[in-house]
Amino acid sequence: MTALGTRLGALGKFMPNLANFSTPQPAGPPELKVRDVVSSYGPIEALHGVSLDVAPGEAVAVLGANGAGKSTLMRSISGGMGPKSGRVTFCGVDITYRPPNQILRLGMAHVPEGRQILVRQTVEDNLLLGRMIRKDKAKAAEDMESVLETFPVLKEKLRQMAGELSGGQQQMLAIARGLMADPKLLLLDEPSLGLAPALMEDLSQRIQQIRKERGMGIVLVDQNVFMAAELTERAYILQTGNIISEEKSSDLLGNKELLSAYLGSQRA
Amino acid sequence: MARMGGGPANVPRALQLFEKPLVPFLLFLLPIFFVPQSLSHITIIPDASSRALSLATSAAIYAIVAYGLGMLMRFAGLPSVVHGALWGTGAYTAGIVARDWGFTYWQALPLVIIVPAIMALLVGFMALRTHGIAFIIITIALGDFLVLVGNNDPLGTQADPFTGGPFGLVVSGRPDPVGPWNFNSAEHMYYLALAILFITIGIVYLISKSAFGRRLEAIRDNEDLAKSLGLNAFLYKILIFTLTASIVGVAGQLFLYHTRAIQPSLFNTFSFIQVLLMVVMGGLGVLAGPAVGAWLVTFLPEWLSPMGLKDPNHQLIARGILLMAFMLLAPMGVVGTVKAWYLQLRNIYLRRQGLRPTTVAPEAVGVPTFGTAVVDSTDGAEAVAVAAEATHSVAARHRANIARPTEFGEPLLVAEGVSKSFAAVLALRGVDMSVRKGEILGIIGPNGSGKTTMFNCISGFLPVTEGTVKWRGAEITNWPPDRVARHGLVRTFQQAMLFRSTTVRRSIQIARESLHAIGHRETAQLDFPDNVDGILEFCDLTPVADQPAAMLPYGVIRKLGVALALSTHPYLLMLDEPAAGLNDIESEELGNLLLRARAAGVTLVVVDHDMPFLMPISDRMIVLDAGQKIVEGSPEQIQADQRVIAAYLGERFAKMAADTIQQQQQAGDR
Repeated sequence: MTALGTRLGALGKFMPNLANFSTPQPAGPPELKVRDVVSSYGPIEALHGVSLDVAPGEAVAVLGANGAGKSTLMRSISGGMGPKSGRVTFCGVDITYRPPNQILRLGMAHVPEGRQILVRQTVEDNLLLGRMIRKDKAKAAEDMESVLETFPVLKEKLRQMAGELSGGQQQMLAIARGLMADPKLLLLDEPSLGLAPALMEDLSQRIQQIRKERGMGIVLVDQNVFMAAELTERAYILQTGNIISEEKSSDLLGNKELLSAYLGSQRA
Repeated sequence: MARMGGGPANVPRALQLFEKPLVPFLLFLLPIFFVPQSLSHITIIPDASSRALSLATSAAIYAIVAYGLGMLMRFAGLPSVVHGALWGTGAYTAGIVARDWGFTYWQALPLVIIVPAIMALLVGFMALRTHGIAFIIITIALGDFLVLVGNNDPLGTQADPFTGGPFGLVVSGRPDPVGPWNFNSAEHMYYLALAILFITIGIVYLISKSAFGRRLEAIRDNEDLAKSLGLNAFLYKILIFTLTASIVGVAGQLFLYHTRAIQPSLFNTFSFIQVLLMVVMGGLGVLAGPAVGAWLVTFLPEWLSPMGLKDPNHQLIARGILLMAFMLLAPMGVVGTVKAWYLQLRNIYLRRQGLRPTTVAPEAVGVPTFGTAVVDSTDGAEAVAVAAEATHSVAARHRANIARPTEFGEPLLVAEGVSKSFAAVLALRGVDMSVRKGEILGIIGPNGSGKTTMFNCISGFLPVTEGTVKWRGAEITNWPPDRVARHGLVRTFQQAMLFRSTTVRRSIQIARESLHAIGHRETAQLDFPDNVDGILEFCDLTPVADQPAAMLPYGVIRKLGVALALSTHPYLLMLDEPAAGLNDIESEELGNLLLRARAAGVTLVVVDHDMPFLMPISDRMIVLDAGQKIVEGSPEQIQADQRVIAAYLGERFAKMAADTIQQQQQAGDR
C-alpha cells in the first residue's frame, strides 16, 4: 500500500467507507500472516516492523518483557488499532484496516489484557454477547454448555452481575466470552493474570482440550513461560518492538540463556 | 538515552522561554491590554469604537466567569451549571446592598466574594456528592432554583421589592476612585475588568503550580487512588467549588456596573451555556484558553456582520456552523490546538537539527482533557528497556544488604470477626487477622475467596457488615478511606491505578505531598528518602521519571502504585496482587523492593498468586477460602498443607514453590 493509501485506510477505522461496510468472506484457510507491521502511539513507535505467521489450527506464543510491545501487536492484529504501515491477512483477506467487528466475523476473537468485561451485565449476558455474531444458534447453545463446563464457577454465578465477580473470575469470564464466538483463531493476552496457581494449571489444560475439539488456532501472550511451553508449538520472542527470535515451544524451558536474557524467567 | 534526565534539555533557549505557560499567554493577550482606543482595528467594527470598547469589557467580564468555570473543570473535572446563578448572586448582592444600604462598589466587594461562597458551600454539599451526569443535573436544578428566586413574580403583576423580579435591578454611578485611579469612563471600566481578569488568571496559574492544584488534579484523575493516599476528596472539591464561586461573584458585580441593569434571565442555564462554550472553544488545559474563547464568542457576531451576514438569524446559523467546525477541527480548543501545532513544528525543526525531541510532560502542555495527549518522545519501549537494565543492577545491589528480622513488634492491625455480605452473597465470614509491626504477612486463596474484599473492608473502601478493625489500639471500623490512609494504613489496588494526566515524577510528588494534606496525619518514622528523586531511586523508577504515567507498560504501572503508597510513609502497606503481570525478574525486583521497604520500617500485607514471589518474602501466611481463614502459618507450613494444595496451589505449583524457597535458602546460606 502506498503511504497515502495507508493513511486513507487508517481513516477507514473511524469513518466507515463503503468497502468496509460489507463483511469480507473468508477466501482461504484460517491462516494469519503479519508482515512488517509498524505501530505507534502518537510519535512513539512501539512495533518496528513485526512479521509472524500462524498456520491454521496452530498455537503460537509471543513472549517478551513488559513494554516489549506484545499487547500492541495483539491490538494491531485484531483491529483495535490501525498500524502505521505493514499488512495483516487472515483467511486470505487483508484485514489491516478492517474494524474489529468484521475481523471477529472472519473468525478471530481477541481476549484483551485486563478483564475487559461488562461489569453492569450478568455473567450470562456477557457470555451471550460473545456469541452474538453467530447464526448457528443451536450449536451456540451447545457451546455455551461446554464453556460453562470448562469454567464451573461461571455456571454458579450465571445470574450475578459480572462486576461482583472477583478479579480472577472476571478473567475467566473474559476468556469464556472469547470462546463463545467459536473462533478459528483465539488471541489471548495475559490469560493467567491474577489467576490462582491451581486454576492456571487447570486453565491451560482446558484451553488445550477445547483446541483439540475445535481445531482452533491460538496466539498467546503471557508472562508465564510454563503456560506458553505447554499450550503452544512455537514461540516468537519480542524485544522492544522487534521479533528477535523464533523458538520451538518445547525447547523454551530448556533454553536457560534465552529465558533469563529476554523473558526474565528463572523458574526453568 | 541521556535524555531521560529531565525537561526539554534539547530545546534551544529561546524556545524554552516560549514554552513557559505565561509567555505565550502574554503574547496572546498583550494586544487587548494596550490598545483599547484602537479596538475598532482588531475587532473589525468600522466606526463604533465605544461599542467595541463595551463589547471588549463584556468579553473581559465573561472571561473572568469562564476562568471560574474553567478552573472547576480543569482541576476538578466538574462542569458546573450552577455557576451561572452564582455569578448572578454576585451581581444581585452588589445591586441590593448598593440600593438598600448605599454601599459603594468597594464596600460591596467583600460581600460579593462571601455571599456566593456561602451559597456555593450549601450547593456544593449537595451537588458534590454526585458525579458525571447527576452532578450536571443537580447543578442545573439548583441554578434554575436560584434564578426563580430572583424572578419571584408568580403573577407578573408586581415586581418583588427585594430582587426587582423579572425587571431586575439597576445601579447608577460607577466605582469610586481608589487612590490615583478613578473609574468614571467606559475605558476605565475596561481596565478595571482587565485588572480583575489578570488577577483571576494569576490565581489559576498559582493553583496550577501549587500542591493544592496537583491534589485536585489527582482527585480528578483517580479519586479512589487519591483517597488511598489520604486525600479528602470531598473537602478539596468543595474548596475549589467555593473559590470559583467567589471569582464568578466578583465578575457578577463588574457585570452589574458595566451593564447598569440586570435581570434574572441573564444568569439562567441557557445563557450560561455561552460561558461553557468559551471555555471549551478556547481550550481548557491552556492558560490563555478561556480568555481567547471569551473574546472569540463575544466578537464573533461582529466579525460576521461585515461579511454580509446582517440578518441575526443568518448570523446564528453561521455561528453554529463555525462552532461545529471548531469542535471537529480543534477539539482541544483554539489555544490548545495552536500549541499542539507549535510543538509539532518545533519537533520537526529539532529533528532537522539532528536533535531528539523530548517528552513534553502533560502539565507543560496543559491537561488535554478533551483531546489526545500531546506527547512527543523517542521510543517508549526503549526507555522501559533501559529501566529494566538499570533496575536489575539496583536490585542486585540492594539484595545483599537486606536483613530479615526474627522478632516482631506489637500488633499494628487487629481485625476481629470481619464479615461482609453483598446482597445475598457472604463474601467474608468472620475473618480474624492480626499484623505485627515489622512483619510481612502473605495472604493467598482461590479466586473469589475474599482477599480483596478483606482489603476493602480494612481500608474503608467497603463498609464492614460485622466485626471490628483495630489500628494501633484504636477502633477504625468503617472510617472513610482517606482517614484510614492518613493514619498510616495505606493500600494499593489490584487494577492498574494511576493519575492519568501526569508524569511519574509528578505522581510521586503528589503522593509525597499528601503527607502535608489537610487533616490529621500520622506517619511512620522511616529510614526512607523523603524527596521525589530519592523515592524514584529507591523504587527503581528514575529511568522513567519523566514519562507520562498513562503510557507506561503494565508492570511499571504496578511498581508505580507501590511507589506512590510508599511515598506517604505508611506504618502498614497493604498490596493487592502487586506482582500480577510481572515476569520473574520483575517480580523478584519487586520482592527486593518490598524487603527494602520493610528494612526501612514498613510493615507489609501482600496478596498475590505468584508463589515464587510471595513465599520467600513472607514471614507468615494466611489462606482464605470462600470467605473464611482456613490455614495460618509459615510459608513452609502453608506449602506443605494438603488443604491448601487441594484448594489453591495444585500439585505442580506446590512443588515449584518448594524448590524456589530451597534455592533462595541456599543462596542465603552462601
